[in-house]
Amino acid sequence: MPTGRSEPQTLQVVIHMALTVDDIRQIARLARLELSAEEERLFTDQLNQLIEQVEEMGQVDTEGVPPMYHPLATQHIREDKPRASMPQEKALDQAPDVEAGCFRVPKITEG
Amino acid sequence: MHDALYNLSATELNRLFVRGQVSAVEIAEAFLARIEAVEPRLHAFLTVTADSAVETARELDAKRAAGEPLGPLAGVPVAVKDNVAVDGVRMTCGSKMLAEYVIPYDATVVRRLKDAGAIIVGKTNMDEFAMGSSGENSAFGTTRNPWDTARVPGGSSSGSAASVAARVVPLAIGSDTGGSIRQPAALTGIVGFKPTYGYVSRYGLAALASSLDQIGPFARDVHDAARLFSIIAGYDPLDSTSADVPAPQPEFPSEPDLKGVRFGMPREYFGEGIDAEVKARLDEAVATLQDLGAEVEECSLPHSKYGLQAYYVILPAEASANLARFDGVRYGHRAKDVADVAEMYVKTRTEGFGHEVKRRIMIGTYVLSSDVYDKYYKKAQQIRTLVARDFDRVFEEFDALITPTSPEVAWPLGERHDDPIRTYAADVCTIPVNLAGLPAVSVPCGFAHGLPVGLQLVGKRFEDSRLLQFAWAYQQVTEFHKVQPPLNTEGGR
Repeated sequence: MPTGRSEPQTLQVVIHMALTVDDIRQIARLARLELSAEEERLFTDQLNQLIEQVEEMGQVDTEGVPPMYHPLATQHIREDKPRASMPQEKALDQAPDVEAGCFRVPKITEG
Repeated sequence: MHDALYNLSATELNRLFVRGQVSAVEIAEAFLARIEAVEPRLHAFLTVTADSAVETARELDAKRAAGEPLGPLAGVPVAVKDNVAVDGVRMTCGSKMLAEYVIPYDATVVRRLKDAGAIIVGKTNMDEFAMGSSGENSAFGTTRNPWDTARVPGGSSSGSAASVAARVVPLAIGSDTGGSIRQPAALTGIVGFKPTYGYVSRYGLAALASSLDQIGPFARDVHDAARLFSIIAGYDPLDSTSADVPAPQPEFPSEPDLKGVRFGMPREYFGEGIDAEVKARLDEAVATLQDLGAEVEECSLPHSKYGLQAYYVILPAEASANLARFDGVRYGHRAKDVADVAEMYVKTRTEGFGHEVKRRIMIGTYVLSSDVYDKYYKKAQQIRTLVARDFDRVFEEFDALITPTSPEVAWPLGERHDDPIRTYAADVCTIPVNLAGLPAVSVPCGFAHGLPVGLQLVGKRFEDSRLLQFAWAYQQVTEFHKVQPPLNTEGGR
């Protein structure tokens, strides 16, 4: 799915202001979710409440503090060499739609 | 004989089996019967693997008859949380998204369980994708607390905790991202252990927040928990975050003795919000540790209170990225009647994810958006550094820390329905431990309002064995872990 890992995405929201229902709709679009009118209202309230709490982080002086993205200082990466893996048939076994050894999806259109 | 088997510890069951006093098939059948008897009141399991359990047991009996070596868990029934892969068995993660998904490989911990001779009896209920502290976010109904079936068992490893507490299995596997092993262990009166980050391979665990997730054991006593931990821990090349350290083999002395051991009590963990009776049980636990020779002093972890806020940001951010994989293309649910692939993504995710999962994906997507990325996401990671540094500082002076596992006892089902702020706050004592990647164990330390209370001991990074020794010493002189819940003795409420 095209929503990226920690790729910052553009979101037109005015900072320091509460999120509106329109902002919530835009976030849902980025997250590939469709919210009911009820969910839109509820999530608007709840995200604003949560952000209010999260704002308390602002009380902490973090000037010059390095971010800790991970508890381990080092991660090992395995050697990039071919090895036996799961057979194709098994890997495709749980796919909703398969054709000629590939995952099959509905048509891909622009826009 | 069968009636009594389910009351035995893993260590006792293994001994009986190895000595030939009971067959593995007898054990498997006794526990499967126990599941059948208790499940209608408990709902701890999403899948019971009765056939493969009996088949494994037959193989074990044949091995024993042939004089082949038997593993350290030979003949011991184990339940596995439904976000940990067991080859050829349905794995739902508590979500409609994966309601029919059969995973085609074993998690490393499951591989090791099988090699050790464990009999896997089923997959346990959980909050959807491990998001929750009550079990109520499962798409397949809520697991009940065996101490009071009108109350939550805690979460997210609800079924694993409840099944061990109700003596349906002696051991279970859970996962802990912000307290999901320790908190349900506390609320159901058993031992739950979250190892140091990197000690246990995450290969085959459905990722929630990859920098916080850790697999660990549930048991009724520390000895059993340590036995399971020593089997699942140790380096795994299939997990890039697996630490290159040997598997620990915790050993326990003949007598409990904590002379010279220094425990710190971080005052921020005993502040407002802690139930007075829970606090009283903790004070008694401190006195018990002192009686064993330990020195206990107050200390301070000033940034821990911001750990909760940082977690509100980090968890959804990582979760929203991890759950991006559920798009209906390769496995799991796919929406029908869609015009194109874009609509398929949206409809699949909208239909497949539950309410709490959507909420956290929304939060994560927001805090990772470019306008607020530095303000929230980066800031949270900087606070994470400060939380971890606080721990490093106090561990220069102390061997372990004492806190409540949960500031309160199990609450009534439905009480916090759709009140995320209040539910998240219940994890205030457990979350900072995950942020720092430390080991922590919850052990029963008494009762408040007639419900179990958990004592959390937090240890130094990769000193998990030592931490378990402290917890073991405490259990040698206390009886709380031996008290049975009403569901076991009265036939349930």
